[in-house]
Order: sequence, then C-alpha cells, then structure tokens
Amino acid sequence: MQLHGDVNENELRRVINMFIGEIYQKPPLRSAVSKKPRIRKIYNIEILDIKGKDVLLKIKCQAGTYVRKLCHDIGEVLGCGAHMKDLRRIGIGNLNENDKRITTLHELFGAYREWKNYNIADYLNEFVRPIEELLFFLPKIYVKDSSLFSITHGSFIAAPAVVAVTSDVKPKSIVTINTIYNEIIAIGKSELAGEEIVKLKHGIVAKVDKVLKTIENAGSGI
Amino acid sequence: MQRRILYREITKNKIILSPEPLVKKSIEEKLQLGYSIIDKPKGPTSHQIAAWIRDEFKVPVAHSGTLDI
Repeated sequence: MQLHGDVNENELRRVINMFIGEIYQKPPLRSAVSKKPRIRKIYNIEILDIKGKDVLLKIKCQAGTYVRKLCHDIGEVLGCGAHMKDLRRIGIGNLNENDKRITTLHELFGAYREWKNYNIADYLNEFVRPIEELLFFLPKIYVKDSSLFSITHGSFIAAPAVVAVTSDVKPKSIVTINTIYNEIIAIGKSELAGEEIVKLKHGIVAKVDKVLKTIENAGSGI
Repeated sequence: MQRRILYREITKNKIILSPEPLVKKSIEEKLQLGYSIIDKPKGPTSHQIAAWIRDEFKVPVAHSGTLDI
C-alpha cells in the first residue's frame, strides 16, 4: 500500500486495526458482481514493513474482499489517501505459496509440449493435479458404483446409494460425491447431517448441483 | 475436530480418506478435470493467463484468483 501523505506510525497502526473484523465494501464499478455494498470479514492485517510512504501488509481476508478497495478505504480514514501498489496472493484454502507443485506459465507450457511432442509426461503430471486434491477440504458422500449412472444423469442421491460419509457432513453443506475409489464425480448439497444419513433406510440425502464426470456404463465402476 | 468416515452399512470396501483418488488419473483425465497452481508475475491478468492456457491446451479453463480489479 502506498500512502499519499506522511502519517504517524501509531496513527497508521490504529487505523489499520479498525479494519480488522467485519467491514462494508461497495464493489468497484468495473466488477463482475452487483454494486450493492456487502460485508466481508478481515481476519487479520499484519504490518510487515514500513518504508517511507510504502507499507507492506499481510492480510488474511474472506473470499471476495477487494484488497484494492481496502487500501483505498484505509487511505480515506487516514485522511491522506492511499492506493494498492502491488498484490500477491500467498495462500488460498489449503494451498500456499510454498507449495512445491507451483509452476510458472512457461514451465507449464514446456511440460505440456514435452508431453504432446515427445510423450514425456513426468513434468506435466507434477503440474496438472487431480481435482480431488483441491476439493479434499469439502465434506464427502461416498456412493455405490451401481448408482453412478443415475447420479451423473441428474438423479438425487437416495440413502441406499450411500456407502459412507465423512463426519463433517451437515444439513445444507456443499459436499463432493465420491466413488468408493475416492474419485469425485459430482458436487452437491447435503439435506441431512452425516450421522443421520448413515442411519437412514430410504429417502433423499443429497441433491446434485454439478456433475463433474459423467459415467456412461451403469454399474461398471471405474 | 478430526473428521472420520461414517459407514452406512457393513461393507468390504474400506474407504480411505485421502486427497488422491485410489486409481491414478491419466494426463488426459486431469486435463479435462484438474487444476494447476500458476505463479503469476505482475502484468498479465489471471483472466489472460486462463485464456492463454485455454488456447494452448484446447480445454476449458477458468481461474479462481488472484481476484482483484
């Protein structure tokens, strides 16, 4: 963040602390969402470095926070104005900057051409990862092979199709629908808690929102 | 709290709570449904990066940030 005037350090710290917690943000004019103000949670703001008018901040915030707007608003409260000079996302969900699978666009293209032209897949396999890793944090419902066809063709998930669930399934949670081989075939919304689902004899336990992999031959599994 | 697997019925198929599928996925499968973590320099937007990969790989690509306008 670059300040537009000189600010006393204590004042800067005081104002920045005011922005920790729930804040109102009005999305900028050039944005993909509707322009009505919305509430975003700022979990923490850490001042890493101050050099003249440049302030290096480490911000932990809710998804959908406009960081550029946050810097602007801090400047408004300080009175002198401020803007975001540079931004780097150092983590999201369970991914972070130190992940060894992180790659540059050049590396990724190189790996892709090596596979395409010479059939060497070692690098590309390292950089292109299965979706299951990314969605591991979500609660899961494991279903029988025999139900895969109907589930991936629009059917609700009924109790008899369920083999198991993870203990973090709650009513209305977004869940992944997995095969017993731990492959994700769909994303849906649970109707009940995990403990209830495993006791249920029949009835709908979850609805499918998005099919990720269509299974064509019924009952054959993988 | 540690999450556990709750079974609905007695089964011989033990479920392993793992971030990786039991059967290793092929490159083709992962290109259809997978993810990459790109270290993006300042300059091109996330949107542009996604478009370039889409053009080269000829598969649908979307991005999930850094969202900033």
